[in-house]
Amino acid sequence: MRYQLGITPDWFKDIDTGFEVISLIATFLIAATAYKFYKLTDEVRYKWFSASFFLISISYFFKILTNLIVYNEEWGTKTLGLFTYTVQYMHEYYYFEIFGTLAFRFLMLVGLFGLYYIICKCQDQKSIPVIIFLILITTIFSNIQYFAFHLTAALLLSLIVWQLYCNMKEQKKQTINVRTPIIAFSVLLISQLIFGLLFLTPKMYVIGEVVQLFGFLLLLYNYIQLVRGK
Amino acid sequence: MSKRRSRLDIICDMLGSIQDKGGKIKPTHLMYKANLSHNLLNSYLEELVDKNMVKEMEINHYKYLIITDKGLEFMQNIKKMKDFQEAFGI
Repeated sequence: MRYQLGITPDWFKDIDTGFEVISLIATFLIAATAYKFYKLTDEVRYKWFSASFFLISISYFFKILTNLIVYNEEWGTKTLGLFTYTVQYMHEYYYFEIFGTLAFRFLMLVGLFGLYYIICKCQDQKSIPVIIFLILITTIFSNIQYFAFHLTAALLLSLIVWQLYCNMKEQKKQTINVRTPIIAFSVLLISQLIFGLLFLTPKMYVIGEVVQLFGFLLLLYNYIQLVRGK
Repeated sequence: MSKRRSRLDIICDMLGSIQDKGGKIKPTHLMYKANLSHNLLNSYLEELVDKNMVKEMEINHYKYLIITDKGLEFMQNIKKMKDFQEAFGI
């Protein structure tokens, strides 16, 4: 059975890859900065925060690679007598498509879970293997029903947004730098809900990608403001 | 009762105190400003001098502690880190 990555309109192919490159850059920069702070202070929470964003970054790497393979499949034209027909070659890249998509989904969900775990300052380490196992099951199941991934991602993002909001209230600091991640993750949450509606129309993929890009651009803007010390 | 300071908080208090005094301070003044015991001060001071964030200098027969460029850079990075911490709720 051919695995369906997403219903991407022809005109949008490669544009979505471009969007995802921006997502990869934004998450990688945040991961690198958090790791720098870990080296500065030896505080483990920065290391795990960095690792979470790095996992999300790697997930987009797999998505981009899979996009490039899916969008550039080999088509061959053969002539047999009076008839000319076009053949789509299915070869070993097909297996990478499946692997790439599952890797993207698994790493994304683990990354989001890691972020939530750090932000909510959870102490319970015993439940981590169980949750990662559940994420693995969800990822495999999403191969059959794609919305399982988007629903789980939306759930994790909603938990992250809620926890960031609670942290903001606790700190009593409502500066723009504190509000921007909340808005950014809320936008990413909305994008996942939009992706979940792909069954309605392929246009939802385009809308979801645009909304998601906006979310990552907000995170990138926030990162730049923090690094500049504003 | 106030929260116990972490190692990082103490280092920031020490460097901040030196910075507040125009970049140089006497050890005794630092001890009072950073609210440290003599032993604790010496222990952290050894670390800061080792890491080149603070240097000792004698001026007019008095021993002074001077914050270096590396110490100032560390303070700037700590400020960015605290902003990062607040923003992402770490």
